[in-house]
Amino acid sequence: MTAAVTAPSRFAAWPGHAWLGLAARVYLGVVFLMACVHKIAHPEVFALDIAAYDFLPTELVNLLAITLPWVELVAGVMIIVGIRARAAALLIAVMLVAFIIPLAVALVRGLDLSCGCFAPGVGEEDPISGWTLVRDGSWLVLCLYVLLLDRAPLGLDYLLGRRRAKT
Amino acid sequence: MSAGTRSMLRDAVVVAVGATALALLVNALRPDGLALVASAPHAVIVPCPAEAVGPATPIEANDPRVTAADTLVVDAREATDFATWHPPGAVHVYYDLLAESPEYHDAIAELLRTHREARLVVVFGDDQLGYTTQDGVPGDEAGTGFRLAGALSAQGLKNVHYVLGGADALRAALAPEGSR
Repeated sequence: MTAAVTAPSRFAAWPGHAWLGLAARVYLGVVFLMACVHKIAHPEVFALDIAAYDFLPTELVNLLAITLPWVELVAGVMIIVGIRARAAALLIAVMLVAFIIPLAVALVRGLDLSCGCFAPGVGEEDPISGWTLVRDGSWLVLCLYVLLLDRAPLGLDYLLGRRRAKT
Repeated sequence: MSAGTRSMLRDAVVVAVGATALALLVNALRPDGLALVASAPHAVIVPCPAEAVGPATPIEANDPRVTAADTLVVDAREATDFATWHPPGAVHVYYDLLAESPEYHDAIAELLRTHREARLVVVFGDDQLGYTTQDGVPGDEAGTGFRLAGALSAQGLKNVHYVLGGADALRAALAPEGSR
C-alpha cells in the first residue's frame, strides 16, 4: 500500500475484507470444484455440451473439454486454501468471462441447451436462461472483489510467510 | 504494472499451463481418453429439454394441461387435415407411417427453437379410442399421434404426451369452449 491515504485505499485497508474475501474465496472455490468433478469424470459429455453451443470450431472442442476442468480444479483448490489466491481469482474470472460470452451468444441466438455447467440429472434439467448469465455475472463480481481487495491474509501463502518471517 | 500484478499474472500463467499439462497427461493415461482433436462433428441433437425419459405417456383430450399456455400442441396428421382444422397454436409435424424416416429431426429442432417456453408437448394424430397397446396402455399404438410422440421422446424431448383418441377426441373436447 502506498503511504498516501486516499479514500479508495482506506476502503481497501478495511480489515473486514479479510473475512469477506475468505467467504468469497471459499464460495467460488466450492462452486468451481463442484463444477469440475463431473467434467473431469466425463469429458465426452462435457465435449458434447461445448459442441452444442456451436461456438468453437470442432477441432478445439475436445481440447477444451479435456483441459478446462483441470484448470477449474487447480484454481478452485488454490483459491480456497489461499495459495496464490489472486492468481487463482484471475484464472476463475477469465474462465467466467469465457463462459459468459458463448452463453450470451447462445441466448441471443435462441439455442435451447443444457447449460453444461454442472452434472446433469441432479434432480432437474439445467437449461440456460438469463438467470445463468446473472449467476455467472455475480460470480465474476465476487472474483473481481477477491482480485482487487482481498490480500488473502486468511490463506496458506500469507500464514506460512508470516511463520517464516517470525523464525 | 506493479511488481505484484506482474507476479500474479506469471503465477496465473504457470498454473494454467501446469493444469493443462496435467489434464493432457491424465487424458493420455486414461483408457477412455478423448482424441485431442475431434475427427467428426459432435452429434448434437438439440439436447434440451434434456434427455429422453422413457416413452411418451397418454393424456386425455379434456385434460386441462392440453390447453395450458405453456403447452405445445403438435398435429401429426396430414397437411390437408391440419388445414381443415387444428387447435389454435398447434404446429404441424406430419408423421408418415410408411416412411418412418428421421426427417423429423429438422422439424423437431425447429420446434425447440421457436417454442422455448413450452413445458409440455402434446401430440395428436389420427389415433382412435378403444385400443390397448402391448404394454396395456390405452390408446392406439398404430395411430400417428402415438407414433410421433414416441419418436419425439426417443429423440430426447421431455414431457411428451399423446392425446387419447387423437384428433376426433381433441376436437370434441375443445369444441364446447367455443373461443378456443
